[in-house]
Amino acid sequence: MKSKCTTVLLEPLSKWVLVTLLLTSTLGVRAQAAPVRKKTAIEAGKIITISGKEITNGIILIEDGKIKDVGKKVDIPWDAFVIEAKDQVVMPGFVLAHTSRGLESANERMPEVPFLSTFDAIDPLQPFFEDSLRDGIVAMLILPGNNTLLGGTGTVVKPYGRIVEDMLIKRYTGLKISLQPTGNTSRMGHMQRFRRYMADLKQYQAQFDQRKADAEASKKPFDEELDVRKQPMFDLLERKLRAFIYCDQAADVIKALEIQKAHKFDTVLVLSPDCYKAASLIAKHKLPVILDPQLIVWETDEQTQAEQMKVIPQIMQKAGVKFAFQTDTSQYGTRYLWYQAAQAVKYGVKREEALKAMTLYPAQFVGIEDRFGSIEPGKDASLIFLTGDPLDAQTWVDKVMMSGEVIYEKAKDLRLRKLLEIPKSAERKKEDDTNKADS
Amino acid sequence: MTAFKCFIVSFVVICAMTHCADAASLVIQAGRIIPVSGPDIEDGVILIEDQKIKALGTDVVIPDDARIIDAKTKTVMPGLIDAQSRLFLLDSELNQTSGAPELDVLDALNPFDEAYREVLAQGVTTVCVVPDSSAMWVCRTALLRLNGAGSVAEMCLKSGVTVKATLGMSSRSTQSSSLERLDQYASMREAFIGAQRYLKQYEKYEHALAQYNKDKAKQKAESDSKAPLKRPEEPSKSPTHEILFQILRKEIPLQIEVHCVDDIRHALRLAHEFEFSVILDQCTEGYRMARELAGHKVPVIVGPVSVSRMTMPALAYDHHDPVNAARLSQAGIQLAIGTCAPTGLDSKFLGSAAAMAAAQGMDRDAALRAITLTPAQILGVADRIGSLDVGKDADLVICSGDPFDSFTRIEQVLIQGKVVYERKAAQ
Repeated sequence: MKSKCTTVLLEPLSKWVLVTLLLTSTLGVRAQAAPVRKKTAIEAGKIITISGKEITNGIILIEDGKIKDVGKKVDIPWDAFVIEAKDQVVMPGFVLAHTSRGLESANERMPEVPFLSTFDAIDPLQPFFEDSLRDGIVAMLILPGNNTLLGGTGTVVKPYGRIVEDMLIKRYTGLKISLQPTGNTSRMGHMQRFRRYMADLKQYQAQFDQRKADAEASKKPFDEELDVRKQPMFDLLERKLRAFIYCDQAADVIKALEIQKAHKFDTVLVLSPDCYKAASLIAKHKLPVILDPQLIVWETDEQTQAEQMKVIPQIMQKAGVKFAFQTDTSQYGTRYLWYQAAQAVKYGVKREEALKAMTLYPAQFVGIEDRFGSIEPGKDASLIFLTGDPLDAQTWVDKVMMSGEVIYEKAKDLRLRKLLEIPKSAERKKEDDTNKADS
Repeated sequence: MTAFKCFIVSFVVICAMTHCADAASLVIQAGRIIPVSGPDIEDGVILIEDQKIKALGTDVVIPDDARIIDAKTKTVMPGLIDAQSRLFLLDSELNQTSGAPELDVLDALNPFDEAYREVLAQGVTTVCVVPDSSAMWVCRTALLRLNGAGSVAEMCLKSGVTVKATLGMSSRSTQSSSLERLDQYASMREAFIGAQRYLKQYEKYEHALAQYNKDKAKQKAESDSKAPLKRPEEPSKSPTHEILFQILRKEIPLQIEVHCVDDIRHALRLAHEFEFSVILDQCTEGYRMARELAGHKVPVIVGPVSVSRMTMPALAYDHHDPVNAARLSQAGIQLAIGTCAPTGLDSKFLGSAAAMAAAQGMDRDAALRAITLTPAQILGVADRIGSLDVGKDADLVICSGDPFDSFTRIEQVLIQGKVVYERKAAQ
């Protein structure tokens, strides 16, 4: 899962810079030494590096969109642009390891469509992206929904850009498998459908290999290619692609483990709340999981009718499962990663683990940990500037920096300003008007 | 599937090894032992080692380091087996209207279901899980232990026990017409003919492939490339036919749910024509043709013994007679009793079901056998469970008195030599 296109964004950019430089210099318009290396230094009140200790009054040095250095004593070069954030907390931008939002429609009607890609369905104009940026998310893996058995491959994007190509971080990342049957299919039928698909796939491959071998033996040209519609499944088998298996119930986890065992998929489990019952099983198989945004469930004891609270991240931590949070809009607060982390910490999850569950771990699960997830030299300078502690409800995301560029500033957020700064007089007037209309 | 079996086998081995570590044997001193397979033993001893019954009788030497369970005033009998249960089935899978022979009930289970505890407390140690369905083909069934392992693989005693099918159940709420029944009979027959054809096709392919490989080797040896050989095309595999095949080869019995006399006859006719092993499931109207059935020597799983209009399909309810089990048993039919209830929790009434059958005139020993040894025999696990015999798994129940007495309490339940239930003393 090592990224091949780490510099997809930067390479063409730097090339253009070079080309324009060459052009301008040859034309003699402006032969001034344009800053090829763009240096930025952040003076932060507090730096949460995730990978290391928290640093108070530290400095982050950025060169060409990458983190060059971080620490308490970093020399700021004379030509660096300095961002002062001495009253702020700077940490790596949040990463969303699994979402099906931002798509025109999340699910296909057909059950087996591994050849589809969410890249073709991302709608950059959806408010979801704007909201995500406002909430401090810098990278997200968009996968198909939970209604399709083999739902297609995912796309890693940043929530910024007018067209999907601008948003792109990494294409062809992860394949969604959903163990939740839809329509009239039973769970037995659903699993059988999967087994049948895999058996057919293997038969197809065997026959293909045989034809190839036969052609080579008789020295005939062989120009047949593997069926493109099946290609992602072959990549899954070769572990070039990671499987994101959705489990709707705890019992589905057992099936997911069975699949992982049978086909040796590189697996990440996407769990429903019920799956906490299988925590020890997941821990035994050392699989990473993405938790449902509903972190707390209440179980009723059949005999005593007593309600028992189950805090899922706490159960997972106790079992030794590595987890990441994801967002949703189903309940209050589920839209925010920080809210989930704060809730987890409230019920006993270690603060470091909770912070990692929205930064480093999701980056690892998605396979972009070489660029995202922590503040370390060499990684992208995709950072967020917070007005306070990340787990505090009063904290705002003040700025979002993506690869060294500040792309969001709360002060310039028009929608937020409209929401927050309604003049009191206007409000009163409106109330009066409605009262008049009522009477 | 073989991988899965391997997994189970290896798991059993690992279990056995871990148990060896604390190898201390367990001894039960019983006031009365009902082995089911033989006459009752008064004041006997059961020696358990490595999850199995090592010795049993009145003259067993008790090892020094053995842990002893004193049941000198109690009765010990084998763990009960519900031949037709819904326990552990996911709610979503309870009333499916479609199915196929290649489906496996192991995919429809919720091992985290806690309802089993209540069932276990009534002495049931093993259940055969069969979904309630009106589909003609339902799925393959499985035998599960109530050991609370929380994992299907660790609970599963045997998978692919039977293939469940139904005849004459197309519309459960009303009685289906004879024409509909005939139609179902014809479709099931067609399915088997299709399987036979598939078998022939496959044999033909294998033959052609062998010939091709032979010719190829020959050509290579002679090293003259004349006409290029054409590799025979492999017929596409059909999972349905492959399972039907196993039925035709008697590797797996077909369990057909039938209620009316017509359907029972259809099932028998099919079994006769295609020579597969059949198990008649529920067999509601069996009492009307007990002698005829006995002549066919087919095993029957009868149930439910007690019925309620609230929970039963009209068809089964209207034709039901509580005397069914007794009549079939008296005719000499190999008979097991299943709870066949709408929910898994109802498996706890298995003991009462057998007692009620006995009340209707069924022989008491036969009634106890119908919930222990006979289901084990019918479902092909009599070498493991079903009776108290040396070499079998130590699945047993210690109760305060006669198993069919309604005043009898279940004191302790053991599965593979491990106490999985113990009655709490009244406070």
